[in-house]
Amino acid sequence: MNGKSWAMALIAFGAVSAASAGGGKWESRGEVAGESRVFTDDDIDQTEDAGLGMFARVEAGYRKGRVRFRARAFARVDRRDESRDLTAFEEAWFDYRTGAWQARAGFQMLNWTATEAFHPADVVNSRNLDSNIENPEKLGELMVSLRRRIGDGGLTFYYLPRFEAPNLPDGSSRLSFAPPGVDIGEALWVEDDGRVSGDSYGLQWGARMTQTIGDADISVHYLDHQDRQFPRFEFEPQIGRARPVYLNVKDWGLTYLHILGGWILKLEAAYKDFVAPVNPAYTQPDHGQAAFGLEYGWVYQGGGEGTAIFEGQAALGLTEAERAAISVFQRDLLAGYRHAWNDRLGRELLVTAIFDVERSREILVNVSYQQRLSDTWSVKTGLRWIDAPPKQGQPIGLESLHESNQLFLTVSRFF
Amino acid sequence: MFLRRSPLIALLLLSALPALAETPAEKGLRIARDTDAANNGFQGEYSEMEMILINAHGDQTVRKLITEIREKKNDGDQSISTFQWPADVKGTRMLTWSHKTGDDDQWLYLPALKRVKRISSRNKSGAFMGSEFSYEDLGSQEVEEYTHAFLADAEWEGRPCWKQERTPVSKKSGYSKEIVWIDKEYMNPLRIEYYDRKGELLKVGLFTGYRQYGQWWRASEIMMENVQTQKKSRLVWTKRELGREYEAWRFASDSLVE
Repeated sequence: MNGKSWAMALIAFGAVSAASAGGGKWESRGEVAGESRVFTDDDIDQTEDAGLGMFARVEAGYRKGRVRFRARAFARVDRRDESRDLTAFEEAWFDYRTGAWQARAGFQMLNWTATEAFHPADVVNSRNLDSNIENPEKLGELMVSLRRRIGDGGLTFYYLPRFEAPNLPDGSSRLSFAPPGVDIGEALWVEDDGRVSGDSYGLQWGARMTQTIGDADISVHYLDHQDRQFPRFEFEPQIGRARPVYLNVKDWGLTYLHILGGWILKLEAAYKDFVAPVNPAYTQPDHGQAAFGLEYGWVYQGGGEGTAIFEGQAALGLTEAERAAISVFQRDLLAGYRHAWNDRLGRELLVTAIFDVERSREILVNVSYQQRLSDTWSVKTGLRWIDAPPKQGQPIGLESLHESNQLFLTVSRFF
Repeated sequence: MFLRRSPLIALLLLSALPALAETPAEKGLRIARDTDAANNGFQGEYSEMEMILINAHGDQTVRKLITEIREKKNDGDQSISTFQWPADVKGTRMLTWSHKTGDDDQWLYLPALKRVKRISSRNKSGAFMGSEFSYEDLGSQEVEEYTHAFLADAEWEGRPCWKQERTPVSKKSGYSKEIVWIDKEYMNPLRIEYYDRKGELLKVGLFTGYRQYGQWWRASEIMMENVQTQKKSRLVWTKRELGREYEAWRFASDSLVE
């Protein structure tokens, strides 16, 4: 039984004990969905161009006096692409609140973001990168947090004892950054002494201050943790495997959101100070990231709403080559439009296009539409189109996903 | 005696009376303030509601929500609306800090993403949950958010009322004016006619089933009919408690996260 299983067993035991005392209030919700996605054929036998799977998410919560418990997990099984199979806890925590203090322990999912598409400050949780390119699913992180309410906000301290590795799609996935046929192995961690370790336990900590001041919501944070956004890879060509290598990083960040009448101004920024690894091949350059956003909404005569979205992101303190290599989005602009009919069916259309302003011909277009079929059934469909032909040699950044165009359809039953 | 002795002075005083009497605007504002005062002091309110959407063919769809309100002194109320049904929006919450002047502050909590998103409250004329109610119909309606004018003493369904006209101050309101029948005992509306920005009658709201909670009267049902589309929405209170004491932290944006 590993450490994660022990943590889960402890949380489950606590939940059963608390609930057996009686008198509290249970609540639950969830969804079961049929998912399908089809990519344009890449003529490569090792990759899966279609997926057909089931997705389920279940959430349960319990509340009694000052004590709360909540658990949420999801599972995906794909009949055609087994590399997508995944079971993960998003949350499983206990919470105790007294006066201005709040303590919470267990697997938590945090959202430290102000913008819609680019999230340099939202760095705590690992992601499932075989999901949604623009906003991948998050995985729960084991942590203990202590929060003190201050004014219209608070100060929270975090202790994270476990390094949670992201779910990276292997070479059979059309959303993989690894070459076709290459498997993804267990994660390696470069800890704060610069040495590589396979041990998933160590000290990570941080603090975050939030405050609402008039029309503005502000947050600042510091995290000393294992970065999961910018992995290096240890290739093992003899067995066709790549192991991601994650570095310790000191992360400073902020989010700022300001309401200016009908406009919403958004800002996210972060600075990453990576540890110097003993093996220089794993070095990641220290750098900043900044994202800004503008949103403007209006109402149509029938009660529907339109929202125009503009966002941009830049990696700072890097050369053009470093920027291109470090992530999918380095110096990009997003223009989008969301239309909500605000009707009985909850119909909603979202169209976004992301352009790289530095590298020519790097475009990602996303169109999605969703609506209810009944009070419990809903459907979401759309397409994603990626045009980023490799400029020279090995593809980097978004080039790895060139022509990974896809259609998707999800039919969900909520309960 | 005085009038008989000084007919000239009496005549002068009588001629000055109209100036001393209230103008429609002054009387309208006074009634609005009186009704507001009569509805204050409840501290906190907990409500469970069903909203029944009825289309032009009579087909019905049910929405459910819970609303908690915390009264604030010297400013507008704070409220949290938690959506219970339909199933796909279950757990979605909206926090509103209403203000006597200026735009309200609003946050939306999206449980699937665990995200609290601050939103602009300017677009208050948008439809609420696909119903004939708009966000501004259901928000805190502070006296200062309208200009008021008394029209007449009137009756509605046999009950004595003040008939008032109120004009939204905000240019982002979906209405050019509202005609309100305020019950003199309940100190709350019985009927509101909403006129669109072109000045044409858009919706009629009927407030029925008044019940007394301590010193406060509250309607247990609002029927909102869009006279232009023939669609209707009924908002029915299935449970209501006044006088609840809520701690301030519950109405902080960070506290929306479960």
